[in-house]
Amino acid sequence: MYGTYDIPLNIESEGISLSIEQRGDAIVYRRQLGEERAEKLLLGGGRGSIVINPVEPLNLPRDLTPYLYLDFQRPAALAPKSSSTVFVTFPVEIGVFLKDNGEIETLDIFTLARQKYTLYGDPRNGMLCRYWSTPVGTEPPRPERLREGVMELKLVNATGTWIEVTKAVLSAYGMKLYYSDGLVAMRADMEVTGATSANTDFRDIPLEQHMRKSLELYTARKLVVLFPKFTMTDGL
Amino acid sequence: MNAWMLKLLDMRLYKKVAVSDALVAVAVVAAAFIAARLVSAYMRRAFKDRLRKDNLEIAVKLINWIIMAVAVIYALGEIGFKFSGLMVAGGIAGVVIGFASQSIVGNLISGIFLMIERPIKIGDQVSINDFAGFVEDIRIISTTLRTFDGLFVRIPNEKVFTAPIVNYVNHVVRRIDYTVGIRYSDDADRAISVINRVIDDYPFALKYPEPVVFVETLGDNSVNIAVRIWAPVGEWYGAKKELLWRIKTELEHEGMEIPFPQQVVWFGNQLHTDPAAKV
Repeated sequence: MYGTYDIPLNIESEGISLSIEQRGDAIVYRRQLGEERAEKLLLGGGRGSIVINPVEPLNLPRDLTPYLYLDFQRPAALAPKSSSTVFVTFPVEIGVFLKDNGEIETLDIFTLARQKYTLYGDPRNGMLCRYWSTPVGTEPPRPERLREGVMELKLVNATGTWIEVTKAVLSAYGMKLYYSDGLVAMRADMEVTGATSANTDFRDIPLEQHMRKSLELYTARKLVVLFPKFTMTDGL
Repeated sequence: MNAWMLKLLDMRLYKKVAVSDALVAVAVVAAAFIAARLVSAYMRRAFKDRLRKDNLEIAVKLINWIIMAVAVIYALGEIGFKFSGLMVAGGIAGVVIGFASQSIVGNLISGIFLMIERPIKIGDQVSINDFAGFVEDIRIISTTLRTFDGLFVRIPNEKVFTAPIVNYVNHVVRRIDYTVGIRYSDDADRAISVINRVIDDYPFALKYPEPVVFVETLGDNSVNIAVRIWAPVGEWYGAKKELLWRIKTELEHEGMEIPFPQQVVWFGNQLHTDPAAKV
């Protein structure tokens, strides 16, 4: 499903029905996923191409937060002054864009993944995050690429004691998504700096060769990226 | 024409103040007023995406006051007003003005403290002095609310400052509380499990802080289950409306009912009834 297409377009895949038709000067976009429907009419811009790719999983059901909370299904204990690489999963949201003369218009965002929010920290001054429960392993899993992606997470313990990591909170303002025919992936770092604190960041390197870089939604919206890193201070 | 005009401009209004001085004073205030408007418009446009709305409004007002204050002080000087004279002329006039403007000064100082302490911000949902609604503006003398049913309410800042304020959106999350009653014949453990499943499926019911569902009381007509769920503050009202109905529907789908109030009546003597008898 992911890729760049010409107009008109008709895709039926994994319960998703997507069509884009040219009607004179206008483009009619239609999408159905279960009982959820989306429709959009674009006037006077029918010469571009359509890009469908995974986007930062923080837009649905509402754009409430730029933070993703990965809840490890089992804790990972890190030896003092050591580093290790683990693989986790993250939810995938699919973005449909119209690319026309360098201008990018977001047509639609939808997801097959579970949608849930959580609070990181306490109710007084915590941070709202998109929630995702993930297995943790040393081998990359192969989840359904329209539903879940794989994240290579490099854990670094900068402290002199054993540290147990049960979660990772990441900021969308630095996410670098890559996709191929069978995989959606990201690479991130988590440096543990204390018993309850860590810094998280992304690396702009594909997990496998020949992966294509996703068109980032935060770039498409032309938002200024100010703080791509995130500092966790309310527990690991 | 020119001579006549020059004569008019030179004409003394009082003491050393000529018509031209008064005109300069008026022009300075008018120019400052226009400049303040232009600067406000520019600031709102330039900083719209960089500053929060309430912070931007405070900054705009501050700049406005500074421009107008400088202009008024200059204009008063032009028309012969001597600020050193204020010290001398204080006396009785000061006392009179002080009494007359007591509430205004009180509101003004309260307004300044409200802006410093910031218990409320523009756009917040609050309850002040029995009025609940959105904060529309925090001015130097008064605060305005738009009630949830769309009414405009102006509250003097002194009252805002001294009254208990409930800010519904100050924290990022807010709790939803329900009490759900089931029949005594229903399985409470299964009901709790059904409610937990509904909560887990609902995106805006937060994973953490964890929702709590437990048998709270054994009521007259029902076993009462307490349900406590945390939701993002902006989604609280929608979640509160939607979740209760989902819980009710799912419990009924699982064969559990929310009972009506009922009473069992015991008769002292055996009650003889004849189905054939007419009342």
